[in-house]
Amino acid sequence: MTALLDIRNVSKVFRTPLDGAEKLANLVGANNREIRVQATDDVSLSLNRGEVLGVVGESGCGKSTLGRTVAGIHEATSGDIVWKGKALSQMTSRERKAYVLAVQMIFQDPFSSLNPRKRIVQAVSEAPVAHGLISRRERDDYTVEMLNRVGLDPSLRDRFPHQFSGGQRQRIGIARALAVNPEFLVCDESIAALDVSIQAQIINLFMDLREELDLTYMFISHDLSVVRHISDRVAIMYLGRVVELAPTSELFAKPLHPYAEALLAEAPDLRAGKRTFHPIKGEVPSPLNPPSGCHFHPRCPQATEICKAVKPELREVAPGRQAACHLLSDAA
Amino acid sequence: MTETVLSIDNLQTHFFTRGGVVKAVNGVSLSVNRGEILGLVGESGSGKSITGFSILGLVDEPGRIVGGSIRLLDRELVGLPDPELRRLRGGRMAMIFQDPMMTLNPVLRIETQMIEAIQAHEKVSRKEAWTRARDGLAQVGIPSPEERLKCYPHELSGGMRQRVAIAIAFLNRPDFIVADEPTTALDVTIQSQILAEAQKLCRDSGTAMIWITHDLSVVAGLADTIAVMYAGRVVETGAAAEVVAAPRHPYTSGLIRSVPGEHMTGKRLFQIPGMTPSLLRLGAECPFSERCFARTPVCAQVPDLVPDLVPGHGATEEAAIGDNRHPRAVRCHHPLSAAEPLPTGPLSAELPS
Repeated sequence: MTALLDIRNVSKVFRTPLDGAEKLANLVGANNREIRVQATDDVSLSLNRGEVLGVVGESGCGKSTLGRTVAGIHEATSGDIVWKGKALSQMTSRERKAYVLAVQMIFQDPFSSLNPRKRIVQAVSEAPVAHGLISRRERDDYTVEMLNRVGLDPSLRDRFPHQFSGGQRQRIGIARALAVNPEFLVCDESIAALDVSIQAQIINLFMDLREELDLTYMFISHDLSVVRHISDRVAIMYLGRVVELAPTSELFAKPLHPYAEALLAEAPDLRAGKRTFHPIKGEVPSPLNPPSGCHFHPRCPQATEICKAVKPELREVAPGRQAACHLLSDAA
Repeated sequence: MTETVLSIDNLQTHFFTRGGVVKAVNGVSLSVNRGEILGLVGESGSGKSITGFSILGLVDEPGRIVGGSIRLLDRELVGLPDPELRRLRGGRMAMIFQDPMMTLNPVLRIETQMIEAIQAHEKVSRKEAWTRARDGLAQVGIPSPEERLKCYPHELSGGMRQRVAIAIAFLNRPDFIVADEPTTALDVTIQSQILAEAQKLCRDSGTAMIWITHDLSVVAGLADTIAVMYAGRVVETGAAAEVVAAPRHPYTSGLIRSVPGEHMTGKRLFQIPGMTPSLLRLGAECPFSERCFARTPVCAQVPDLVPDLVPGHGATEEAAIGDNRHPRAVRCHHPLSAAEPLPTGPLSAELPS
């Protein structure tokens, strides 16, 4: 069985080239360098149909860039994305268009992801009309169907975004994504901006939709308890690299990578009760100037010489489990 | 020996807007003991931040404290003239904001700002103030504090800035600090470092703290007591462990059960239907009643916040659940008892408005 979506060695580099003045200054001996951020570094992941892959990491770890690359918003600097066995770079423009419709993204901020001057019916039906999925005459009925699907009262479809609460807007964002019949949803911190009681409503909606529509999710979040709840597998990222990839229950039972271990230990847990904190030292280094070798070595309690020099590859360290750490032995 | 540092009684802060009176804080009562942390939990619009602002006298027009009392040790803060409040702020009481750039002046070095904060309240030499500033930074876990003192705020990371803001709040060893979502914008590992430092500073210096957050799981590990707010009122309060383990108010219970946990993986989450009511249109009824599974006709009247009693002991003061330092109280006509099974399965989906 081929994977529905295969991310192969995807790297994304953002650069700010030197401007004229800086080039001129370099000629007379200044040392201005191009600013270069490696947002994702050789990331390979694959998702099977119907699966939910959680992508977890702290800010600057490249999880959003990865999501945007998958959704076709960013072009990968190197590497490729393979959709149903066909590489994005090999696709004809017609196939590419089908891909972009099949992979939809749901954003974090429901306040900035909707055009404030468009009524809900316009926001939801614009894309399907433009792509010829429905005719102009059907747009009203279609919007009603979509709003019903996400649990929003369809009689509100002629309102503007500012007339809705955060949770309702997020439902509108989901309805808009569903309107083009996607097979794959990239959810980038889609519930982070919502109140706790509303978060549960949206998580339940995601899970219902997954069953109804046979959707596959890439669920990007910094919230471990949410990822644990919704994902089948979890990838943990640190400074652009995947450091651990494992089935959810096994990961939470026993994280293998030292960073994964620290992250899981530090996440506030309602049910753990009162405790003293034993935080890991230091901060996430700047992605502008990442540490050599294993990016985590300056903060890692077990780092050795090899960690400073050599980049660890993501490899199988136990059956079904991958981690990028020199200190873990290969799976027997 | 415990000493109550701050006690708030029936505080009401209303905003007189063109659309009507917004009762942002509508009768809040709480108290914090020396060296302890109270976690003030609520969703957006529940009035938790305005409660914090009211304590420090930072409520701006069109908002006004219209009733109630705030006592810091033996001094009444409501109605205190501005110059006296200013003397207290930064000295006896302080605030930590969500965004440290609200505290820090972007065009002044850290040392300038910290020395100023000390000299504004105490007659000390610049040199002595500098030493205290350096020690303050070291206490919150900032490496090489001498160098950091020379930095401007933009040269520091978000976590470092928040540490500086916390160090400034603790500079004059205040009796009381309000921390308004100080770790919400930070990463998990940095958040955990800051929680650890704040907890230690409170214990060591005897400062009482109110930690405002929307995230119950943060205060569950940090706070001694928890007060849960809904629509401008405290609906439940008590020792942190007790509130989390056995919530009595249906709202608290719903909040706790809607947090995904270990044993729920893949199952539908419990969800509280509907959304928080508009504070403009609060009636006489319990504001949670329209979302509540335990609603009965008596909920048309707002219940009082009453001490929680052990069932079967009758209404005697001695029988209150919890130790004497952290009495429990709940504002509900139908509080849940620990033995009572909660309704299982999800309630209806979001009610259309």
